Amino acid sequence: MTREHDPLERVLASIRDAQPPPDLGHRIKADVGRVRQRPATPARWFVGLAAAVAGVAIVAAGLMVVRPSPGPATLPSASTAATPPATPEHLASRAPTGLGPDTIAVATREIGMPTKLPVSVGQTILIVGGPIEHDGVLSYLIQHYGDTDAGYRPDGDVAWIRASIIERSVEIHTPTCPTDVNLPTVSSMQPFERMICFGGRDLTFRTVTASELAVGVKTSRRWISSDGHPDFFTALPVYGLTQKLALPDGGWFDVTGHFDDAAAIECGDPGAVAFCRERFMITAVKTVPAPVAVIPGTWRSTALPPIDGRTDFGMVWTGTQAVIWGGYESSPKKSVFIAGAPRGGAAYDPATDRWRTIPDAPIPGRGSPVMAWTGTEVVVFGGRIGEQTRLDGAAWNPATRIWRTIARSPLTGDEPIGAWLGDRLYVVTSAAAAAYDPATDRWTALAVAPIRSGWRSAAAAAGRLFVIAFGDGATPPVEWALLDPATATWSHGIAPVDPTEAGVSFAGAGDLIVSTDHGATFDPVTETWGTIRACPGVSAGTVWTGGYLVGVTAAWRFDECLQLPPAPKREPPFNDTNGREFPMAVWTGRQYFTWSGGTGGDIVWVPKDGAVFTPENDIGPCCG
Amino acid sequence: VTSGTASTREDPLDLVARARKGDRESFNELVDLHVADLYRLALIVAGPELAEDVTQDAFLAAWQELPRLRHPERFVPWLRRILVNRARDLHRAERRRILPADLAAAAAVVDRRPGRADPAPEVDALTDLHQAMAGLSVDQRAVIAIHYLADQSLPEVAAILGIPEGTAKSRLNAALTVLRSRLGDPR
Repeated sequence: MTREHDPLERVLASIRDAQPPPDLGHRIKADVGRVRQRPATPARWFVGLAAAVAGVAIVAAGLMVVRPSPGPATLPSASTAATPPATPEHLASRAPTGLGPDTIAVATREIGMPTKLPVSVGQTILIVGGPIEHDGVLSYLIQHYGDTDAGYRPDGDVAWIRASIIERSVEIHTPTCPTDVNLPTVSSMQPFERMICFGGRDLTFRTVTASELAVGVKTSRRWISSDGHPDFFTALPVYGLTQKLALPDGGWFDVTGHFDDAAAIECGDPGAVAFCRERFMITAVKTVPAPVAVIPGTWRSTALPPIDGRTDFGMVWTGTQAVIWGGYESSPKKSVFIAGAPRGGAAYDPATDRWRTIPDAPIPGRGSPVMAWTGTEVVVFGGRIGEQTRLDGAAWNPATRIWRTIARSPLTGDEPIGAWLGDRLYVVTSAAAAAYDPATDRWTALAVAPIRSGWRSAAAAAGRLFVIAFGDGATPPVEWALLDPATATWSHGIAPVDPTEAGVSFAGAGDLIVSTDHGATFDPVTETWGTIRACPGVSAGTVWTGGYLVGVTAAWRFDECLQLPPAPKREPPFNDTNGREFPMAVWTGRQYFTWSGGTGGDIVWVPKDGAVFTPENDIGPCCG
Repeated sequence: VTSGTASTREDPLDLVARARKGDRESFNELVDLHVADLYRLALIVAGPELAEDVTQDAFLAAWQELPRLRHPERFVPWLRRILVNRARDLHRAERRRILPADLAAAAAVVDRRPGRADPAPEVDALTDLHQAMAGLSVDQRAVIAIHYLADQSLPEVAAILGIPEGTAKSRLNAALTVLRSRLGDPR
């Protein structure tokens, strides 16, 4: 099927050409003509009124600098029209509850935010201002950024909320301010906690690098991190960059700066001032040597295979070759939306850089098959064709180049997932579980996993099968289950993971199950959860070498997160070096081989290129 | 996706800067520049029945809130986010599953495309998409629309929607699974 016959591509083309009704623009302009803009900087309230009395004063908690400001005082409006001016007493005093400007509080009841996500119980907020009359009602201006449970809002929300609601919905919270000031510690704090804890004093973050990160529309796109892979929880957006205070890509620096910059007062309304005060303003940059945090080694591109790129395929290492089977093939003429599921596959030998096709299997092609290498055969089982679950399987013998169908499984249900453990392939569905023994071509039925169905993934570690279930990807709880093959019994519990993170991968790493995205571990022996240093670059194309978990851009071992050198650039239009979304990979014992995977943007097919990384030193079980 | 009909050669950043200060003419030029793109985004996120309303609401909200936009260069992503939020609010407010496609609404969209002798295949295609999309949440549709229609990378999608990149990935993955099964033709 060519791209022009791709139904989704055809529809997208229709929409790309679609024109709005001719009068839509006129209607919008008419609306605009009738409505006034909301003021951006009526916020001299925070400045002018109190300052008129106090000159330069410190409000309440001693952290908000208030300066004289000329001109008429008006109240800030987070929502609507002007409101009566506040009195200086309102600004300078606190409520009997002790709440006032620059108080951090924790919600004991949910607090609705106008048109935004609510503040949920347990979440911390900043009292930016108040209690003060707003729209004729005594109110507080509050700010929040969400939290792990409710989800983070990188841009933060700020809104006026009635004082009566706030005072019965929060308790004052005193943040724990770290004495050991380093980037990971500071980054993991709420933005207002940083401002409260460190005020305007100089902080220096040593041996950091800077890179682009687009998180939130208000946030600086330049972030400092310890590993060059910034995210909202481990890195810090920086401000005040100039030609002299520059943080170019690839460099390493000691960066000095401060929160609560005095110029923040010029940012406008009190909400904007609060956001500005929480910014880390750079005042000095010193170039330093790069840390030894890169795994030395070299990448090379592989020869191109005789098959198209694929998504949702499986890949296993047989000891001499990587066998690829299943998935949906796509190419410039066949988008991922209409991609077919071929019965055949391909095998790659990194020693000779040569590919061989694998003939059609005796079962239909499908996405997301469970695959395993038994020592003599590649077993493929289960998967999906569209919304249809497949519970059949086959085995490919690379020596004889012959397929055979495997015995019919006793499984029912949907979403088959599994892993190879010992000498059997263990498979779990929404309604059943079973183990396949390739030596006897027999299945053994097992008890069903005692956890919710829906979005699940499986991994093996410490000789056990770990299954994590995200349900619908929105509703808690996330559940885990663990199968001990020796006793054929399940244990299970609640996982401390947000259900919306259903795309996050869990991988077996020796004796641990590890999520390098979350920095979470699960010990299958003690059945306990723990935390580790996050290492997000590992999550794409993850393999366990016996010493490290390796991904396309990084490698993890306990609290080490090492970078890989940049992978080879892809052919246009896939010109992003590391933009490999959803690739698969194998560890050959000495090399890391990754193949296919998309790059995002509007490119609706995936390339068929592969790359091999050869570490300079052994990172496998002997030496990792 | 390219911008709609541009009625000015003026730097859009200048237009945003002037509109922030209350210049309606400049904002009207921004409407001319972006109404088509925003409407197309709304077709996916909100569906043909609601696309006009959501587009209109989004521009009005943008006008009202524009003085608070701290980074004028982020005007377009900001506008998209407003639109997605409006679609979500409307969805919640009316407690309706957005789309199953209204054939008449789809036909109206196609009818406005210039030079189409036989609109039927396009109507069918649009209807198919919206029927497939009916299985997706507003947030999943937003990820699909911004990623594939508005050409934005996943980090940018995450930024526009104010969600972690991992969430954007999981939403995209889930949405693709549904679309692939409903629109695809796997062997």
